[in-house]
This record gives sequence, C-alpha cells and structure tokens, in this order.
Amino acid sequence: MSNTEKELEKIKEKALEEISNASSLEDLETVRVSYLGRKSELTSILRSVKDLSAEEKPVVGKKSNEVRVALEDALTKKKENLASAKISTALKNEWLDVTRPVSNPNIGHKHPISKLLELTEDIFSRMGFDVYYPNEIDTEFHNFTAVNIPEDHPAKDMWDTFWTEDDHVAITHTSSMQHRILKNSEPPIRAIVPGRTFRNEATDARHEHTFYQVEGIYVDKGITMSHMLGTLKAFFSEFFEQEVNILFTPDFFPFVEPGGMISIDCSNLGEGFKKVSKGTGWLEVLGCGMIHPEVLSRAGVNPEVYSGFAWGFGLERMIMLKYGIDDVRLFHSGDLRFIKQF
Amino acid sequence: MYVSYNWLKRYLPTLEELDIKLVASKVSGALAEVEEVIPRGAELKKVVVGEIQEVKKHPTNEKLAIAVVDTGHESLRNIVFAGRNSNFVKPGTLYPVCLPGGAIYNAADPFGKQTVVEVNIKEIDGEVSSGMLCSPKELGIIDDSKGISIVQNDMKAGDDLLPLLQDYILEIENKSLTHRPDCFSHRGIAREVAAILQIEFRDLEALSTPVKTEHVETSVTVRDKKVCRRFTGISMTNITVKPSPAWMQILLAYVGTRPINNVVDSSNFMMFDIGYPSHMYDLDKIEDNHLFVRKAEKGEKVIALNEKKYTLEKEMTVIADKNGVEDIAGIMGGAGSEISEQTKTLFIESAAWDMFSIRRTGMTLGLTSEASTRFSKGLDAFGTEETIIRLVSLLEDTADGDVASELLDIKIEPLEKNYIDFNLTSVARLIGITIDKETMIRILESLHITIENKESLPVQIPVNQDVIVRLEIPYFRQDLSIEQDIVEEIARIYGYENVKPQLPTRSINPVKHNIDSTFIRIIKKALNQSGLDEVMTYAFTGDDVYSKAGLNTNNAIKLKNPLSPELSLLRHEVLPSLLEKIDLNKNNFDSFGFFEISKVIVKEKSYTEIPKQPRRIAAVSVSKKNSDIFYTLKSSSEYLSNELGLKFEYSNLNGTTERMTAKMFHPYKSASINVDGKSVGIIGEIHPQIAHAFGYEDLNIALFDFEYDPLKEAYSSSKDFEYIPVVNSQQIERDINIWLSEKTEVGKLMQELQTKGIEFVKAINLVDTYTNDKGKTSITLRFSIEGDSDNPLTDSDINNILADLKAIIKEDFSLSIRRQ
Repeated sequence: MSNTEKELEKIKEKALEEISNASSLEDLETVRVSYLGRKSELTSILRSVKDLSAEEKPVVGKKSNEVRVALEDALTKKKENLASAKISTALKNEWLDVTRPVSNPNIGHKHPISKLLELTEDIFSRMGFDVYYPNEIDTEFHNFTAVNIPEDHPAKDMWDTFWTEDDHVAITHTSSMQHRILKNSEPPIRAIVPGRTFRNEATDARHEHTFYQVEGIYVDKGITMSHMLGTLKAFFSEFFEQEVNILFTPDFFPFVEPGGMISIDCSNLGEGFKKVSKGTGWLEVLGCGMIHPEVLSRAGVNPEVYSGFAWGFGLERMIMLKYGIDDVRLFHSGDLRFIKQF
Repeated sequence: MYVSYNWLKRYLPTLEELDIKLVASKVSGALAEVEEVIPRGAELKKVVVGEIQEVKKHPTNEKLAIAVVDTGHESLRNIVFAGRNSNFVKPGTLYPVCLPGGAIYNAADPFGKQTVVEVNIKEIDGEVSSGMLCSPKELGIIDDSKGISIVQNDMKAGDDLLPLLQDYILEIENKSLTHRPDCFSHRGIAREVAAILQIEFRDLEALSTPVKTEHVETSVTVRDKKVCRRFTGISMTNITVKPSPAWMQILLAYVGTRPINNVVDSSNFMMFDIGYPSHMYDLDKIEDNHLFVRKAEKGEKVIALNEKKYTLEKEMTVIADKNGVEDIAGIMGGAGSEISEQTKTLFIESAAWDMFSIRRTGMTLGLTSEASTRFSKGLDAFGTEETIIRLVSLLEDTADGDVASELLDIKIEPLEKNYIDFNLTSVARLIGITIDKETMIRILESLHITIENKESLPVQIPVNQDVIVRLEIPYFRQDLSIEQDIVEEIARIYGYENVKPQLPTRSINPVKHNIDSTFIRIIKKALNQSGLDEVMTYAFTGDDVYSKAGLNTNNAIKLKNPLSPELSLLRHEVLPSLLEKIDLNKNNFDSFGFFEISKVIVKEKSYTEIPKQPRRIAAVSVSKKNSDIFYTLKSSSEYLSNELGLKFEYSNLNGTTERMTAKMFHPYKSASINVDGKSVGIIGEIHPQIAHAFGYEDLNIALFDFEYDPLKEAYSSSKDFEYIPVVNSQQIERDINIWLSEKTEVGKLMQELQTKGIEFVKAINLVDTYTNDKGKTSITLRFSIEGDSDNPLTDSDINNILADLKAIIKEDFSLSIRRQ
C-alpha cells in the first residue's frame, strides 16, 4: 500500500468518526465541507491523481473514489438520522385540543317507523318478497268481503272501522291488498304490504287509531304451516339480529284456517320486552295462518293446487318493545324531542 | 270469559289429578289463551253449614245476639253475632259457620281486595263465642253482607262448604273463540280440555221428556220464520221463587254473574253449563198465555230487563203477546213479564235465532247480553230441547215446580247433520307434518267427530295418495264445514309445538322493484341530510285546522263516524297538519324544520272504485330569529334536487297558482318549483294571514309542498348524465362582484350569463352575498373558466372573457360592478 493509499484510509477513518459524532445538521455540514469540500484533503488528492505515475494512477484513483462514496453514504445516513431525531424532539412540544367540538352539519332524523319499515322491507326483499303499498281508503269488499269477513259477521267486531261519507273504509289492515295481489299475480306469490291502517278506537298510551301494519303472503304449490313458521322465524331472527324462537298458538281470524298468533321468545331481546312479557319470556306479536281456501278461490287461485300462508303485525308495537317506549301516541305526535332520538 | 275449575270437574272426573298450570298452558296452546288463573276461596278454612237452634239476647250488649248453632258436632255451640242480622238468623235456618281455628275474609275491606281474618274462640262482652256466622262477602262470594245466608235446605248441619268455596277460575280470552259458540259453556270447554289432555269426558246423564202433571193452556205462533230457526218452550206452575242452592250461587258468582233467585239463576246456570240461553216469562203477565214471534213495528217500544227503554225498528224480531213486546229476540227480555217473588207460573223459552239478525239488532240498539254474544256467533239449533228438559228438572228440584204443558217445539229450520269428506293427506299437505292414521282417528274421536268408514281405511296411509274419509260432525260444531277446518282440529290437538319451522325452497327470480319504495327513501335521505326531521301526522284532520290553513273543508271527504271533530276529515293536503305541529315544537326549539311524505285523499265528483290517493311531500322550516328562513328551506329543496339529479327551477308565483295549498304561502315571497317547465311544487314563506290564524306571528316560517307523482315522473324520465372524458385542462376561477338592484332575480341572471354561451365559461356559482349598511346588496359570482392546457389562455384572454361578462351584466341587466 502506497503512502497516498494509507493517507486516504486515515482520512476515511477520521471522517467517518467525525460524521458519527456530529450532533446536529450544522455540525454535519461542517464535517462535509472539511472532508468533501473544494478545499478538503480528499479533493486535493483527487485533483492530484492526474499527476501520478501510470501504476499509481488507477490504484489511488480507485481508492480515493471509494473513500468519497463511503463518506457520502455515511453523510446521507447520518443526515436522515439527525432529521428524524429533530422531528421526534419537536413532536414533544406540539399539541392540539382534540376534545374541542366541531361544527357538524345539521342532519335531520328519520322517523322510527320509516327506519323499521325499511328494515322490514329489506329483510323480506332479501327473502324474495315483493313490496306493495296499500290504498288507505278502500272498498268494503277489499277490506272485508274479499278476505272472508261477510257483512254482519261477528268477526267484523274485531275491527272497529272508520267509514267515509261515500261508504268506503279507512283500511283496518293491509290485508286489503291481498285479493288484488292474488288476482293479479301467478304463483309463486310472495309479497308484503306495509302501510298505514286505521281502527276506530279511542287513543291512550296503548291504543292508537292510526298505526302501521305489515301484511305478508306466500302462495305456491306445497306451502305448509311449517314453511310459515320457518319464514317468520327467519324474519324475526334477522330483525333482532339474533336467533329468535317462535311459538304458534291458536286464534281465530276469518281469512286463515288454521289461524293463530306467533309469540316470540324475548328472553334475550332487552328490557322493553322483559317488562311487557311479565316474565313469561313469550310475547304475542303477530297474527297468521294458512290462507282460507275461500280467499284463494275468490281471487282465482285454485286451493286444490295451491296453498299459502298470510300474516300481519303492527310495527309500532315492535318499535316500542325494541326501545322500551311506553306511549304509542308519540309516533304521530310530531314531537321532535321524540323524533330526534332516532 | 270466566271458567270454573270445579264446574269443569263435573264433566272431567280425572281433572283433579292434573296440575292447574299444565291445564292452563295446554288450553292456551290448543284452544285459546288462558290469560289468568284466579284462585277463589283459597284462604278460607273450616267453613261448615250450621243450623240455628235458638237465638238469645246478649245479656249486656243490646246490639249483639247469641245463636245456638248445630254444626254437626256432638255439642251445640254459642256464636255471638250482630243483632241487626236477627231477621235472617232464625231457629231452623242454615247458616255458614266458620269454626274456631278457621279463616274468612275481612268484611270491612273492599270486596275482592280483602285481607284474611282468623276465627278463634273468644269472649265478646262476657259471652263466649266459638265461631262466626259468615256473610257471602266474608266467604268471598259476592259483595253482600246484609245478613242473608247463602245456604239453602238442600244441605244439612255439619256439611263442609270448602269444596264449593275453593275453586280456580280460568280467564279465557274469548276473541279467539269468535267461531266457537259451543265454547261459551263449561260443557264445551270441558270437551275441549278432554280432547287436548286426552282425558275422560263424562257427559251429563240423559233426562227423559217432562210429563205434565198440571195444565196451563199455553201457545206460541212463529210469524218471523227467517230469523227464528227453532222455538222450544214449556210451562211450569206452583213455582216457589227463592234463593238458589249454595252450590249454584257460588258457581254463578265465580263466573261473574250475580245470583238473583232460583228461576233466573237456573236459566243463567244452564247457559253457562251447556251453552244455550233461555228466557223465563211470568206467564200470569202474558195476555191469553199466547206468545207471537214477529217483527217489531217501527217505533214500538219496550223496557228491557236492564230497565232501559228501547225503540225498535221493523227489521228487529221480538216475542210479544197481544199487548206488546215481552222480549227482544235473542238479546234481552222485557220488564213487563219479569220473574218476581210473586211469580207462580212460568213459560220457559229456549230458541235458536239467525246470527246476523241478532248481531244487527244488537248493534243498532247498542245492546248486547250473554245471550246475544252466543247467538251472534252462530249457536246451533239442536240444543234448545235439551235446555228445556234440563231446566225443568232443575226447577222441579230448586223451585218445587210442576210441569204444566206439553213441550212445545217449533222447528223451522231442518236439523240436519253435517258431513265433511276429509282427505287424510291434507294434514301433511297444509301443515307439513306427518301424523299416523291412528293418532288422527284418536284426535277426531276425542272431538266427538265420527269417522264413517273407519274400518275400510288402509293400515298404512300411503304418502301423497288421497285417502278420503267421511266425517260426521257433531251438532255443536257448526264451525266445522270444510276440510281445512278438520286440518286445524287435528293440528291443534296434536300440538302446534310439534310443527317444526322449515324454510320453503324457492326459485331465485329477483323480487319486483318497487319504485315508490326506492324513490321515497331517496327523498327522505335528501331531506334528512338537509337538516329536516321526518314526522308522521294523522291522515285525519278537522274543520278548525283546515279553516285556519285557509282550506275549504268541502274539498275533503268526511268520515261518517269520526272519533272527534278534530279527526273528522280525510285530509287532501298535508301542510295544515304540519303547521299544527309547529305549536308543540316552538316551545322546545328556537329553530327547527320537519317534513312528511304521506298519501292524501282527493275528493272528486266521480272516480272508479276508490278516490285518488296521491302523495304529498310537505315541509316547514321555522326560526325565531333567522328572517332568511326561505333560503334555509330552499336549501332543503336543493338537497332534494341534487339527490334526485333533477334541476329545480324557481319562479316567483307573484300571487298566481292553481294549487289549493298556494293560499297558505306569501303571494310574493313564494315560488313555483318546476322541472323542465312542469310544476312539481311550491316553496315560500307562510302567508301572514295563515301565520296569524295559527298564532305564529312571531315566528319566521317557510313551507314547501311537493306533489309526489309529477316529481316521480320527472325522476323516472330523467336521463342519465353524459360522461365527459377527463382531459388535462387549464382550470381558472375568477370572481365578479355585482351590486343588485331591487327585485333582481339572481337565479335568472346566472342562467342568462350561462346561456349567453361565452366561450371557456363552464360554470357559474354564487359564492357570497353582502349587504352594506345602506341596505344595498351585492353578490359574488364565481366563474369557472376552462382552457386547453396545450394552448393555455393568457392573462389578456381571461381579461377579455371577464370584460365580456361584465358587459352583459351592465348592459343587459343594468347592474353595476362592485370593485374588489
């Protein structure tokens, strides 16, 4: 190794040490100037390479370039280290108040009935049910006769009815659409009819003359009560986002045979349910049954070939149970203190 | 409906071996909900029959007396009692006695909420009293403590009263039994319980037809043969009217009917027992002992047993004598021939009536009864004869009566048995469960249904192969008429809990797209995003709100039977209901806004089938301070326009429009909202007159009212937007400030500037408005200028564009530019 090479090695060691010892970007710049600047030893060696002998020239040239590259690399690395150290130090002195409220856009609230109505539509839609909306004023035929409630039948007492001056009915249930749907569709028929319905009864915390009902029908070959229970269990499980057991008990509705009520097992459904079920764990929420053959044949569906089921439930009751609301009149009160909670 | 467990036991000898809770839950699961099981007399202890031997005065207290009582024990006992009851406590009478160590209910507490009192031997004013004489109230039977004894001479001293007094009452929800008149009786419920629990049902012993021993000439003429289906009756004489035996009084009281006397109680008892109403006439009050079943005359009057006077219509059926109405058929008897303590001779009627007529009459008169409840549910005509026969037997025992006529039986409607051809496979077809043949047969037979060709049935019922049996339906099951009825019977007795939920298999065809559902959701989302809350208000409204809102009530369809005047109209507009709801909310919020989407009912001279029911989208925006309320609500309208992808054009109404709701808007601070030149709604400030009518003078209120259908049509027919390829372009924004003059329409100005088609100007937006202290307003319009990045616009190009724009503003609109 020539003297020049040894010298270069020395410069390199010394420079690397100084780079590593530099404690600020300014220090580092000083180091850079002293080793790589125009007036540095390394630069003058590089400049003098051209004057060296033919043997020495490549050796020293190569070596001095190696040293230069090594120093430049070390400088770059050190520079990054120092820069990130500087950021880290500076961070500790920075702060902002993350708790300060921002001015939010004023977003309105959807009515709870709309919310749950949409949820119900979506669930049944996913299950393959078409959605129809009822006429709110309809004929006596569609509200009563078509669904097997003849004139002067005691069953009619179950529906306290508002009559218009032209003898129309403020629909007492959304079954008022059943005849039309059956008549205008070809089986398989799957449909739900959510809508506003009316009963002529005085209002109190538990009774309301205006309420929302969801009627549903499923008519096809080979449809059984077991399918009805399966469908409704699936619906309630989706609705409450957990598996919900159901219980069918007999009841009388003229448009179904057999007919009954569905109770849901509400032991896991929250406080509202617990309070109302009086600790029995079961709560009647829905009326249903196998569609009466008279209703089918009146709409041109052959009951010998097809069978089907129908159900109806009140939406408000479900919302009240879900949230523990104790006064049904709030839904139509227009009170924004109520609406703004949903 | 109340059902007595003791009463059921008369038909169900093994019922006692079962747990009452199990019975209640099984009945709930297979017939109708048992809402409650109410124990009666549970706390009573040691209550027996005592026979009064002697009554003595109390030596020191004149308000008290002492009864010497035989209670079946070796020695007589002295019992001190309140002397005022001496009228009833006489030697020879039977009286309930609570023995020492026993317990009764406190007479001082309100009936039904009584505490329990223990009875012990004690000294009362120096006299030892070993027991207590008990009033019906103290025994928890009825609210009566006047001193009368519940016990009659069918019992004897020492008889235990607890088996009669201790009972469970099942409260059954009778709405589920609308089609089951047979279940409005203990025999009917007992039959069901026997079938459900598969236990023995023991029917009442058959009785032979009564034979007359006295003779009272009695006759009946049935003229109304449409409503009267069968009329059965008999006369009895030598009747002694007195209290019923204790067992009957207790049963009646426990099922909710106050005991009256042996004749009336027997009629009630028979109705609750086997289900058929009957009516008792004091025959001495019936002219010529001759009754007519006929239509009432219009305006004919009758005072019924409830002491109310009814004016009858000519469609109503009555039972009358020559002088007038004695009974409103199937509903309630008349006071004129009511049973009294003096009654000696009776006519007992048990008839069958047309269910529809009875219901109609009851509804018209506003009068229902236990009898009409049963008749209007379609009670069969078979049971009238049995009712008469059993009543005669009961009155022979309890009223010492003698039969005084033949049994009259006028059968108008033929009594025919019903048969149903039943396919055994229909249970699997409709319920989805397989039940073996033996089980089906056992269930049917337990319901008293006879299978005609039972022996010829195949041993194994083949799957999917019809096996039809002929079923004979018992007379009391008029509700069973079709195959599905039988399917229900088998399924419910077999147990619905055995039907497992199962999902149907279905084709994967997509559901129909309900455009309204989608459209309504978009509207609600947009209006919510804009800050409006959604409310729902009644479809009904009233004259008051309508006239405050300046609308004519003649344009709304009226309800025949409204709940109140405020809810007597079917609204044809939504806005008045929203205005009404401002009142409540103004107390809670300084500024607020809400909307409703709802159907309304349109009144037209003619329509096919039903009136038109379009939807409205209406909103109100309210502020106590902000006078710019129009623009607050216009912003909501614009959210809607953006969400729907429609361009709303606003043009000042200047007092003209055809919409009815326009009257509610300020004539010069309101706009028609159009899409492609077609009107879809109105927006504006409230008319000061309407604000005044509602008492909202202090509030800033803006309203809008969209018609759903034209809006939906515009939405449905609007074309998808046109995609413009993304290119590297030069984007420049420049603002121009303009002083407005009075009534400058900024929207029109901007539209005009846009349509002038100055090259490179791609969009114009209003970014600021400013009003100086002299009330002069200026606006800042921002012009988006787009150039070609390959050949960019120079500063002088841009200045030229701006100069062109300013020239239009100055020359075409005569407006001045405000220096920056």
